[in-house]
Amino acid sequence: MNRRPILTADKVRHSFGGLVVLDGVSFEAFSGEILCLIGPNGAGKTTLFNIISGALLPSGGHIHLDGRDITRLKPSVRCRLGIARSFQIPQPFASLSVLENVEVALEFGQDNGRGDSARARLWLERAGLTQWLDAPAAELPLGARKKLELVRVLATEPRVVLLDEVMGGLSPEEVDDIAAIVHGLKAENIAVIFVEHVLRAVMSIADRIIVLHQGRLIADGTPAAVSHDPAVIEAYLGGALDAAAQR
Amino acid sequence: MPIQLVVAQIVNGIIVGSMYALFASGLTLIWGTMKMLNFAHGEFFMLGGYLVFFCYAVLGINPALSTLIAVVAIFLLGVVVERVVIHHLLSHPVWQLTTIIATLGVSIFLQNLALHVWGPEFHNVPYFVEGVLNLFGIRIAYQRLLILGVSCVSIAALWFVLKYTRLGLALRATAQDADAAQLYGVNILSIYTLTFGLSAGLAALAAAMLAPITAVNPYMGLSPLLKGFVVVILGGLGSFAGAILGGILLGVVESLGVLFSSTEWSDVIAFTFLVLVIWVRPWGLFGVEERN
Amino acid sequence: MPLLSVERISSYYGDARALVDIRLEIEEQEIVAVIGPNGAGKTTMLRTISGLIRPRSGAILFRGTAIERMPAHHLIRLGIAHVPEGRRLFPQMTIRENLLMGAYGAPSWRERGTLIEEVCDLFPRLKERIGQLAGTLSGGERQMLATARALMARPLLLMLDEPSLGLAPKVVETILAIIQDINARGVAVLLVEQNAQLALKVAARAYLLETGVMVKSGRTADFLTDESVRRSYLGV
Repeated sequence: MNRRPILTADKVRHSFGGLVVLDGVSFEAFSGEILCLIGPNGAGKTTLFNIISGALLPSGGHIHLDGRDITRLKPSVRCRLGIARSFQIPQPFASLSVLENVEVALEFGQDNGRGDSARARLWLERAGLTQWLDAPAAELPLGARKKLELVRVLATEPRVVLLDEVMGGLSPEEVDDIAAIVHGLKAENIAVIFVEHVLRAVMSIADRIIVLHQGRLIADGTPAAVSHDPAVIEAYLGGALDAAAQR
Repeated sequence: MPIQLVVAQIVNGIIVGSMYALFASGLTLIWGTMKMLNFAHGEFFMLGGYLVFFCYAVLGINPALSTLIAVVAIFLLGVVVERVVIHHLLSHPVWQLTTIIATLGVSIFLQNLALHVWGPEFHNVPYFVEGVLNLFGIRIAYQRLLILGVSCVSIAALWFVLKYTRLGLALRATAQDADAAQLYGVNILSIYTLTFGLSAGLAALAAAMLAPITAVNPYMGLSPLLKGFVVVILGGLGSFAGAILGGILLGVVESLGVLFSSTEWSDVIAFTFLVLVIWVRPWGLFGVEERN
Repeated sequence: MPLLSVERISSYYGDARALVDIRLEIEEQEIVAVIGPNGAGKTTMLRTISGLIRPRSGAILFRGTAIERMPAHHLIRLGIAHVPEGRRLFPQMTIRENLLMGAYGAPSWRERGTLIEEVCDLFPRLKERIGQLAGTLSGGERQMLATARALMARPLLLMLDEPSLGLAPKVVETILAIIQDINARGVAVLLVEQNAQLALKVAARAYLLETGVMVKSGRTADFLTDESVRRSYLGV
């Protein structure tokens, strides 16, 4: 498979004061592929995510979007170039209606934004939010709010979508709904990079998984391969369980 | 400027400052343990002053007993206020705000109660001890020396309780980690009530000492409250030592400032001093540096 | 009669369900482990047992007495000591004062002097620094102090929440050895750990918690080869 990656991270490093949080992480993301970033707490996932989205400038290393070095570009510029991110705690524009929220995204998120109401409605329908169209965003329950967050991200017509724990706190049915929406992005040839804790959901839709542990990439492969990788097992479970038999 | 005048003012500053310290230590105790600000603290001070006035000046009860009555009564008032007004607010969201509003309400209520019962007139409380000490040409009223003595003893007593008694351990534990304190047997709700009462008692004690010098009136709690918060922030929120040092420092700065300007400027001087200190050390003299 | 019996406990954080119908038993002098991935509800479970969280439904029995509605500060008297996640020491108190706090609410307060001696024998590092402020200790020393503080109450049941968190492997080995030692002296241990391998090394029985639900329980040997642990942690 000789595709060029749409996004690459090249030896990304970051330290907070004396603490090294990311230690030379490199990976590639491809259009039409769902890539999931996992790792135990404190592994550096959020930091890496923030560096890719532009919320944080790395201490070292580069991020390339379609060959262009975007390491030092502001998030708003990245958005226009086609990278959009969601936020862990969805904060829609509370006093605007659901529809208006999406229209804002359409208007400002693209290079030639037209605030097209028809497109906004289409996205909302795909997400199953039609019944909430004119309701103020503040009234939405958590599951619907997360879906709205997703729609706002997608409305900017990105090439790369960054999702930050979009499934946290949801019921199993809601997790499935979101998973279905995300899966649908493959057909649009969008590259999806997801940070997530709800691993059961991740494993069912991810094409590829990269595992961070203590700032380093310890695995990069299919869900099946990664979940049997001894290094990953050690990172999450502390070690191979049959080794516990030696007491 | 005669050196004796400066020294006299410094001595006065320390004395008045020690009362600021006593008053402020009550505020800092509440902040440290309950993480809330008590805007009714000035009214505990005010009512303490009125009780001493009533017992000593009106009823003729001897000053020591009058002071004791005032302190105990206001301690009980503090306990009642905590249980009735504050208690149930603490377990609800935004309690940091609701408690401020509630204590402001208590403050307004108590001020108007005093106004209603005693009227707006200023009342004088006679000195507990008469006479003046003459030391190297500096004249210090015995009353002021009494104040210094009482404040030293009370602050030392407080320190002792906090550092060396089982109760003090519980108070400090609640202030440092309320969850862990509970896990090891501290009834933090009782601690909150006790702290509030103790703080009120301290304010009343400060009032009893200062009443003969400043007159008693329904609004006498306002200025000390303001200065009390200045001292607490100066010394570092939650630091007992900071409240003491801050109080004395404020007293001295004020007294010296008055030497070079006039009494009307004393508040300006105090607040300018505060701003300067906070500029250099935002967390106060003894406060814990907050890193985000 | 088991020492501790958790019966169909459900706990909530606001409207979100944190624990669903949890069942657990510990016999006297047993070491029982509760393992599970991040966010499974392990800490919530311990906080519910020690009274910091009130359960929505269900019962908790300690030596036959119902404790689920008791205020948290009563439990130490009954013999339950909780070493919380993150240790939660009193940072501006000395080691000695932290230890004293361990006995504060327990009948053992009366013999606190001798107890400090005893506990320091178990943890010589603490004895050396007895006058030092707890906030200045290293991670390993903090875990030792937190454990020693709990022992000051002479508990019947010691509950440890992720003692290995943030500690170097060498230090973790030491802590584990101490836990086994404490258990040998008659204290039952409820060990909550994200590190499954570690927990299974010392426990006789274990429970696997995943998103608020007990998905497996049994003797440790059953866990060692079972795929369910790996699947709970890694999703597949």
